[in-house]
Amino acid sequence: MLNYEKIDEIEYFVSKIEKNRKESYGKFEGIKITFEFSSPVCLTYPWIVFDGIIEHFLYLNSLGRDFFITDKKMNLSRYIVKNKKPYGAMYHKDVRIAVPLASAGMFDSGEYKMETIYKRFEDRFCSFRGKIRIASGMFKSYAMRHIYIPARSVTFFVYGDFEFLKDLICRNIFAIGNDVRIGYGFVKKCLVERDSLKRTVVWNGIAMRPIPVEFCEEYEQSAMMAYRSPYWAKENVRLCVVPFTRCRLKKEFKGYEG
Amino acid sequence: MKVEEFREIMLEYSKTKDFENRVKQAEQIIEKGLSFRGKKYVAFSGGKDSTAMLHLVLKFEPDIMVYHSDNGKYIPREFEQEVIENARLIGANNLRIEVAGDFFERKVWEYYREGFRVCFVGLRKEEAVHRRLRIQADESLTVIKEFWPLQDWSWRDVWAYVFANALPIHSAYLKYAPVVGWDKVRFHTFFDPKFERFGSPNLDGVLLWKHKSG
Repeated sequence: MLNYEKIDEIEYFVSKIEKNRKESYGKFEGIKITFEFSSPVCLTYPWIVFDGIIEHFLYLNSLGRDFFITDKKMNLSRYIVKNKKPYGAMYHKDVRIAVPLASAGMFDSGEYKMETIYKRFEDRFCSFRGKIRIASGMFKSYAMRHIYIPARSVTFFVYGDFEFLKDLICRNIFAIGNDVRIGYGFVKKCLVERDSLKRTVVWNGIAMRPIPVEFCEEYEQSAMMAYRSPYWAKENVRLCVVPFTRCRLKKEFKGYEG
Repeated sequence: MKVEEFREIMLEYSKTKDFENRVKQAEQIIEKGLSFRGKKYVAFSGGKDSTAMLHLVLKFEPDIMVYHSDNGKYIPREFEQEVIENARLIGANNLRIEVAGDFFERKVWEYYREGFRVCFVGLRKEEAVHRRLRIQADESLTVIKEFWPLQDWSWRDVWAYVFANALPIHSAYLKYAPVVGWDKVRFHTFFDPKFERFGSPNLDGVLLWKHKSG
């Protein structure tokens, strides 16, 4: 009989993260990142925000192959982006939260399309004879509907260490969005440029990402949504200004407006 | 396809003989149901089929009881409100709203004791094989006998009827139909794990994103 050593899961992952964490970053500057696609992008939410992509690769870098055994609902974000973050953040002493300086993706197409993907019973996975229920269990048949955007490119704006982010993103990224394993959102080309304009939070009076309403003086539309990664975590949900709607930051945050 | 374009096409279709025959057939089924003894009610979900059926039944029996089941957290509150408003716009003045879940176990017996013997349900054979088989076998789910006035209607007939009679269309259709298609769009619960195997939560996350983390 095998003897397994009992380990604390979180302690194990955190120790790996601590060991591989990058402690110092270079100069922070505005960066424009454009991805060109070779296949449409599948989404389960209308926006992809760039800090989510960065954190995904930080996990991957820190944990290596162990990344794939982490519990997907385990929020290790605070260990990953401890101290100095690879992207800047919007802080204020009166507002206890920090908003990452990373925009939501601007797709070159706003059209939604739908596709149905069928998963059907395959007898090669079945080693026995007899009746098989295909309405439930491991042989269940699916007719999954997905929404995709037939976009050719997406642009993000981020404030951070140019060289570090260029290396992190361009070296690792191969696809964006949901269901990349079946070919959606494949990245053909990754273009990273320096960008002088501050377009990460608010640009020309338009919110470029979810911004908690406590940062804003005026806003056109608000909704409950996550304001920082991981975007699935309910503890990150706040009343936010909806991306790509009009808004004006409070006076003390004017420095973040482009 | 946008709603304006689709409306034009359906209005043209509503002038055909085929469509007229379907409406006549539905009216005959309603008359047959109404001729039965006992109280009658109409099951109204707020979808296109029950909208068309409710309008048809109300032409014969304006005071018929309209039963609507509220699916609670799986229907955003403004959508639920819209369903009720639509029912009133169509002409329902005897609307009864119950909480979904215990209808088949408990409510149906209460209705039976109250004297209800007939109900009109907007099932169509075209929707699914098990529905077609149930209609062909004339199999009611409960002790209350079901009538299916739209049993032989296609999705075209339903939309044609809705547009030709200027009936209210739930806003969920206007959100989903341009993406899903007017032939496949359905009004049901949202973010419901029951429909996960059909990918419905994938669609809801994008089209009804406001209700995802609310």
